Amino acid sequence: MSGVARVLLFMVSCVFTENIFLTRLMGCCALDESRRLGAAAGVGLFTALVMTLSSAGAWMVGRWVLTPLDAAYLQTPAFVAVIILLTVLCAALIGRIRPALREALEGSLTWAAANCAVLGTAVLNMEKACSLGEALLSGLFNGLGFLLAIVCMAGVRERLAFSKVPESLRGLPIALISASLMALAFMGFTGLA
Amino acid sequence: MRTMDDRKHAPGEALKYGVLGGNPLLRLGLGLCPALAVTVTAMNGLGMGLATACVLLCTSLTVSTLRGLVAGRARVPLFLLVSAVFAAVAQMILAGWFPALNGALGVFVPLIAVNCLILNRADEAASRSGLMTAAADAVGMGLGYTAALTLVGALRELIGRGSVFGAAILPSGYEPMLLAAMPAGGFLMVGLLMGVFRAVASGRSGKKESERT
Amino acid sequence: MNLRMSPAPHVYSSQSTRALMLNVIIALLPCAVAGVWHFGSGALTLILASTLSAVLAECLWQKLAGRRVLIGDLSAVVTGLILGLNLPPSAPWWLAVLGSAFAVVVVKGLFGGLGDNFVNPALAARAMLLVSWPKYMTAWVAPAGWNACVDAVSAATPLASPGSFTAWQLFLGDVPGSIGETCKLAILLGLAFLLLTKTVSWRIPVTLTASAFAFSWIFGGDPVAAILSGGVLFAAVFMATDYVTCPMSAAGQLVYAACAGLLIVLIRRYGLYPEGVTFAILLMNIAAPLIDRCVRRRVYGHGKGANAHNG
Repeated sequence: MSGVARVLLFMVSCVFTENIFLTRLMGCCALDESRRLGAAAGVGLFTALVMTLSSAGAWMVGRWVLTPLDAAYLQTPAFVAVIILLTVLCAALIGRIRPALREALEGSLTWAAANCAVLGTAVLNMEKACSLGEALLSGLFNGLGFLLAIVCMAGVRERLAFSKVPESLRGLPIALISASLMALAFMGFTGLA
Repeated sequence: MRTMDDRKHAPGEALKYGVLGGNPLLRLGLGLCPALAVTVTAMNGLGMGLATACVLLCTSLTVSTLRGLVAGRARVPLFLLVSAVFAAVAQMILAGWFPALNGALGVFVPLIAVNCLILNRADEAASRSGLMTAAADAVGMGLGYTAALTLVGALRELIGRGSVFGAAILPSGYEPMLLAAMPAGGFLMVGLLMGVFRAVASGRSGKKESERT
Repeated sequence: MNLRMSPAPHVYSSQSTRALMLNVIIALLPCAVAGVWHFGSGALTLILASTLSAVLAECLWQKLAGRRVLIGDLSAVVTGLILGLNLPPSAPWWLAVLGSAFAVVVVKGLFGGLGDNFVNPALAARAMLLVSWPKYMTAWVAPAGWNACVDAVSAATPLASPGSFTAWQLFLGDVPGSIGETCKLAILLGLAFLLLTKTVSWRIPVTLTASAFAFSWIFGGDPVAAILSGGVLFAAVFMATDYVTCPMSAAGQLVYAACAGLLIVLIRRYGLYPEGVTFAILLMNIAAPLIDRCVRRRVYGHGKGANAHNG
């Protein structure tokens, strides 16, 4: 199979078949951020950026620092440190290019750093023993998958804002039930990649 | 809803708050990822809950001890690093002494480091109060989280396999509902339980209001 | 002044909803009759079980939630009927009951009732049943009249064994499959009635079918067999056209139907499930709000030329 076809298949796998949010259930703490479409797109894009960079960064730290030192037990703190660093760097970069965007992202920065999806992708890459290129692509495509899920979620929640949801289900409970139906729909992608 | 009420400083109150009224999963919506992913069986839920509770306690105590030292923007990175260290310890303990559970929980053991429950309690409670209060809050929340995860796990195992903690409860003619073991089932179970808890809580507070008047 | 905001469609009165639903029920009758004709007692049991269960579930839920009981608008009957027609004829009755209850309570009721659901209730319930009890949802019997389910001769559907049935057999429904989806003639009669009574527009059924036809040909299959096999026609007429869960704009509906056709072919060809219709339409239901956002109608006085005009 040609390289391009493999990459495309990998992309389909990360974005649809094994969607990090709806299939592998990482990054669900971001459900709270998914109420408006614009905000969700912003959070999703930022998280995707952090995920891409930190996948590569964590891989480098894991392979080039921890493995030679036989310090696999330090993996979790090391990866968290890498993610925090990259989150801060990305935020600073965005602050230079578009200060207004930086302001808007302020609240969601914690989530990009503390997102299970970001750390989870980094950890899974190490477990899979992949190459740097594969790690980078994995971060990018999983980030896109996360973006897709959170944007779809926001589309649904904006619609829900006008619905007569019973009082005890309003907010997070009905968001979870919506996510359940979305996850059910996404099961249709099984086997596609 | 997520702030530490002054009345709950007393250990007994903190415990009750953490398990019921302020249950981190079912009332505050914290720590969702593991709650959705690993709670396929009651044992997984219990194991995950206890592991998280231990990391929470250690993190809260550490953060409380260090609370004067760091302020402003550097707080969240500090909380994350502290919890990451304790999560690494938990990983080692689980891998060494509970390998079966470790295998079942998979990638979500290192993810304890970024569990929003731990971050939230560090931010809201531990960094603003003394050791006793931080400990009480952590224990209360930890127990509440464990109870919630075990409940979700037990229900999902019951519906999806007909057993609880591996012991067959439903008769052998029962056709297991495989959805319970899947992501969609996880989302549905947690969402429904949250709704039920909220309905019960508002029903109770409604009764208290009418008793007072 | 009490302003209530709600998602489209906006005009709802029990009278007009009831009239619409009645039209849909009438349109579904040929499929129900054909289903019972081909698959017999099992089919009848399922249709009755799912319809009754849907009505009962809606009644109980509305009482529990403290809302007005609105079963008179017949929407629960429609949901129950459509779900029943989507089941394999040999499925156990409790599957129909649970599926209907799920459709009416979880997919519709929890979100606020008629008009507030974001996915088609019958389809979501079917997907739930397929995932939960695959062995019952993928057991098919040959169409053998009244005792088809009693004798239960297991058979492969046209999707599982393409080429074993003639186009005529596929058209008349003399093939294994779900109760209501096999007889294409009955479905077309239903479509004709719906179009004549202006209950649905031609847009979605025609576009979805054409899209499935085209993509099936592009991906190297037999396009005629593709649209005559499985649930494409039934879904195109009765489920994809659900006002509540499809995009509001005409252009949006075309995009929605075209993408659904593509997804159906992709899932059928490359995915795990032999029938892609259920998941394809569910996925497009989820995408519908986003499609609406992208295909917004330009309001006069706004947009690029507005400043020049507004001075």
